[in-house]
Amino acid sequence: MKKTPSFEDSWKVEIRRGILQYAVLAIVSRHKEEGIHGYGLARELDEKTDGLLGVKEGTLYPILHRLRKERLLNVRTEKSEAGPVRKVYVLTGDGDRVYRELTSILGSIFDKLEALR
Amino acid sequence: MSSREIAQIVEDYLKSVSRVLTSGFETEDMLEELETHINEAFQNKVQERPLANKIDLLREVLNDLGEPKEIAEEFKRADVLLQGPEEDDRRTFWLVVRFAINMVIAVVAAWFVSTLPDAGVSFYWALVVFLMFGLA
Repeated sequence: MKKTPSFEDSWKVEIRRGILQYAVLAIVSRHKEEGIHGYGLARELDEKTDGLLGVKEGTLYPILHRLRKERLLNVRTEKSEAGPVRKVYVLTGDGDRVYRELTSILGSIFDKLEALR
Repeated sequence: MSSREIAQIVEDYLKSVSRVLTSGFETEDMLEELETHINEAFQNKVQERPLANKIDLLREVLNDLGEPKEIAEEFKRADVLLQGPEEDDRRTFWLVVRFAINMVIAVVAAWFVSTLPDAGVSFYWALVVFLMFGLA
């Protein structure tokens, strides 16, 4: 029998989805000059958040794809240690602007939420 | 356990992902990225735990990546978010254009067939047949 997810589980999924795009922009922003590849991004996300977001690494690629289409990320290629060429993501000018704007919005949201507690 | 066995497991996984995604250039692009990710993650795990069973390490990598269904769901979601009303309008426009082109081709083909001396096919009968082919 299929178990219905609890309210907290569904809520976490929704929150995670929204935050994940921001987290990806934040990590790429930390590597402004050299950029970062998909695997590196997945590792850094896991390390920096102690796995709190519980992200399946494969689901990061559709998010990267969307952010590229929105012209927030650019891609260049480099040779990977594993052999084949890999994509390296860098923030575009628009990406940098959006990231800073989202950071400010998130800061305000957390401040207001703090006041509610 | 051989490198061929490892390559086969990776290939099977990528095929499963490919099956649940719509085909297209972007899907191919993402599959390539997933393959690079798997290779890097696997090599990294082998370096960190050289004595561990390599198949187990590969299974860990694939488990960290997630079920193909989960990746496909996220991919579809990202695509839906990218497609606003403008994209819907564009799609409708191309559907109408395609239908109009099919109609013209069907009429011309039906006229041509009906004028053949030995065919014995009426214009309207030929038109219905060609339209059915065109819409299929």
